[in-house]
Amino acid sequence: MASDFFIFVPAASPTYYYLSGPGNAAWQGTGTPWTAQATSPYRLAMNDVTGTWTPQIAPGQPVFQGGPPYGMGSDLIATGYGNIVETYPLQIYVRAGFPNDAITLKNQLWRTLNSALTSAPCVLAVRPSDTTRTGYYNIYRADIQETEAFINDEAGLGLLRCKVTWERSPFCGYLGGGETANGTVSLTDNGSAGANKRLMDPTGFDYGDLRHVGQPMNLTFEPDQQTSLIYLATVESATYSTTGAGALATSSTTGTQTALNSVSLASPFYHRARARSMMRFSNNTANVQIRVEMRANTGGTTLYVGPWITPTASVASIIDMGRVPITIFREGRPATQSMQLYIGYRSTNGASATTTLTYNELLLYYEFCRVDAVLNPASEPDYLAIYSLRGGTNIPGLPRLTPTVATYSTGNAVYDTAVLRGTPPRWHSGKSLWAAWQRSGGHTTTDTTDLGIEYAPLWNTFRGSEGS
Amino acid sequence: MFQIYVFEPGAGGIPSTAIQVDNLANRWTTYEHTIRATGGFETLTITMAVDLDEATEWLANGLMRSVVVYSPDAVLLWEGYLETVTMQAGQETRSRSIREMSNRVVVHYTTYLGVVLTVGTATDTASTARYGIKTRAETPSTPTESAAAGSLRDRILAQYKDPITTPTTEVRTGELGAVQLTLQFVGWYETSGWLLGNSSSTTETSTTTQVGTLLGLLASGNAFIATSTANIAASGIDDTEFIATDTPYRAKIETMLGYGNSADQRLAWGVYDDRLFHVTTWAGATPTVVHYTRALADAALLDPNGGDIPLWEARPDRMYQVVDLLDVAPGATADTVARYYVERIVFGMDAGGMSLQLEPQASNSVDAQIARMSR
Repeated sequence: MASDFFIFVPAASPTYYYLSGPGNAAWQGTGTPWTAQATSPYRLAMNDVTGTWTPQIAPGQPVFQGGPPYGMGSDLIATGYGNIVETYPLQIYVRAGFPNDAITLKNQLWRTLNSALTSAPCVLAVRPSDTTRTGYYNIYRADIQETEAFINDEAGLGLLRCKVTWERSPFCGYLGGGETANGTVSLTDNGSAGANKRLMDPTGFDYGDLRHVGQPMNLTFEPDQQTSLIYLATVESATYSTTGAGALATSSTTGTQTALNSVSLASPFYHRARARSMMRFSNNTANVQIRVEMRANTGGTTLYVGPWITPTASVASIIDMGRVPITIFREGRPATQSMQLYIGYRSTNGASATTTLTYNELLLYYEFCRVDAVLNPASEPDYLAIYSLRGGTNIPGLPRLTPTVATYSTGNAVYDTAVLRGTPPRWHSGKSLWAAWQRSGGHTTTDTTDLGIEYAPLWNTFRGSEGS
Repeated sequence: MFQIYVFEPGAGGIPSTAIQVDNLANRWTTYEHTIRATGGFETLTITMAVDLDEATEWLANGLMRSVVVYSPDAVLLWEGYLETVTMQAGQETRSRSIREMSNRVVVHYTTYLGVVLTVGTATDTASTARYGIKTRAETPSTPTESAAAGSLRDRILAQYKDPITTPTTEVRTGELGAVQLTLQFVGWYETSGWLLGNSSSTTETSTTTQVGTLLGLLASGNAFIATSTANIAASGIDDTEFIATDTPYRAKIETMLGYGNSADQRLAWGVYDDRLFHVTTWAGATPTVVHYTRALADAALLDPNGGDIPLWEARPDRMYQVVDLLDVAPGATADTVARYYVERIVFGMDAGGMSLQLEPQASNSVDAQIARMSR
């Protein structure tokens, strides 16, 4: 099968402009032969005169820390990808003696490529010969420059050579949205037995070049009960424990501590996940403050204390206790290390203060976010949606610059905006999606929610046979 | 990725989350925030490339919008309101700011007989409904009478009741340039200088108790800063409740907190998360308790146990130490060769990466010396 390179402006029934015609299909001045490859007057040049082309890979833009003169080498802490500017060598074929036709075809191409300011960006479809799947890019703008040959001698010969320089998205993706994975996932708001998390890549749905570093997702969260606060994360693991649970009381304003569980960090040097503590309380007095603490072992040296948090009194709550740094455990030996969690608690006024811990979860996470959004499945709004990728009929499923976070009615109409703090979960191969949430009246361990998961597989240049 | 939420103000400029204007995450070209040990969240400056319509909208309607910035780990990094908007459209620049605005004016004047009198305050209710109350007191330098003082008051109000626009125009040959928007936010502590107070009481009361009282008075005019005193540590020092006429509440707060505490230590204070007012003994009182460390080979900030601290989470009123530098018997001195007290932080990001500046205290300033004087 011959290669496909074509462009179009997204619409319900778009017009396709094949840029990979056979080279002997000159436009006769009427009709729209460019809508099929076999008859298209546009051809990818691939010769020394006009030039050659292959989709350019998006070079990573890394951010390193540290280095000489005091350090040996530097550590990578982030990588981003910018738009690609590349030149597509194009030859346009018309009847000999009709150079106006060549200019007409060139101009209509320019208009199509430069649609991004007034409509959806032009789409570039790429599939090399004999490969299976087509990748779709967004083109944001383009310039077309004829070569000197046109005005010198080739205008009357029915050939216009030009260089199309476009700026496009760094990656290609599906058309019409992302990959729907997992079906609808049902979670229970209880960390026991992993009821509140799911593996992200059931067999057969794990695609994309960035699947190990994170690909954007669309998530819908539809609880069975009224909800006002939602936590979401992509996790390496979530360790649930009831060790140390129960009523913890003190009148000390300095504070005291109770040991919780020891958490094994198996091979922490093999991943870059960060640690975060979540604690669930069934009750707290108004004068108590709590914090997470970490020690190297039971009764050992305190390595970290978190900020003091004032929980809502007399209400069951799931509380984000914050990050727990585990850098010290990444040195590489022994292969399995463990940290000891503690809960610190104090009285704000010297009177007896009580916190009643139900359980704690230690997350090893990649992304974590909190969304404040009121959902009322019994009335409106019905569900929360976090849209991190574009989509729609004939629109590539590529990342949005900023996620759209909103609540929606049962009829899928926008109800209100919502505020997301942190980073929305991304698709990581082999990792899990984790959630915790609570009603405005408190946390209930039997609440359930349905999660809809769609992610955008992204490829550098070609898809090959990947994807649905 | 930071989440940078901007919200429309409520009535009277009160920060509200009811109407979300935008999330500026990933739209900025440059980002910089500063936080100070005496004041809390200080400034946030964001530049963005925008089209003319959006720039015009920010200029016309953006002032007093509130902003809250969250880190990729959902930590609140900065909070404040939009004070100045600047649009550069090629060779034209437009800037609007509420920094010099005053929508309530009072004039004190001296008659020809030497009697000091006050002409009643004048308020522009349309401006206060949008921005809150921002008061200005004027005193003519020459003797005058009531009608003239009233005219002066009304003229000043008319001139300053709205945001001040500062345009510049340059007509020259060459490229016209793009449209760039600069949004300058300031922290809520700045609003503690918007209202003027006075008190004839000479009762001596705890300075930090008085701060709590002043927060209540501020909130009764502009409900910007929370009135909770849960984060205000007692100073152990008393001072007179007297406030000279038309003294900004901020000046009175800073005077009292500038005395330090009963242990002869200076205080750190400011408005932080959820617009709560904090007062604590400065971290330099226990200089051996180090919060931030750094190795010369690295560009990372760590806690003393090696835990990494994202640069954007750095706060002032911390002790900072470079582990490669060795002090010889540093004792109880805060600022030594290896360590120093962080008075102010400046965190910035652009296309080239991010940077953090940790500024030291002005240890020889008169204010700092007064703060360390025993009482």
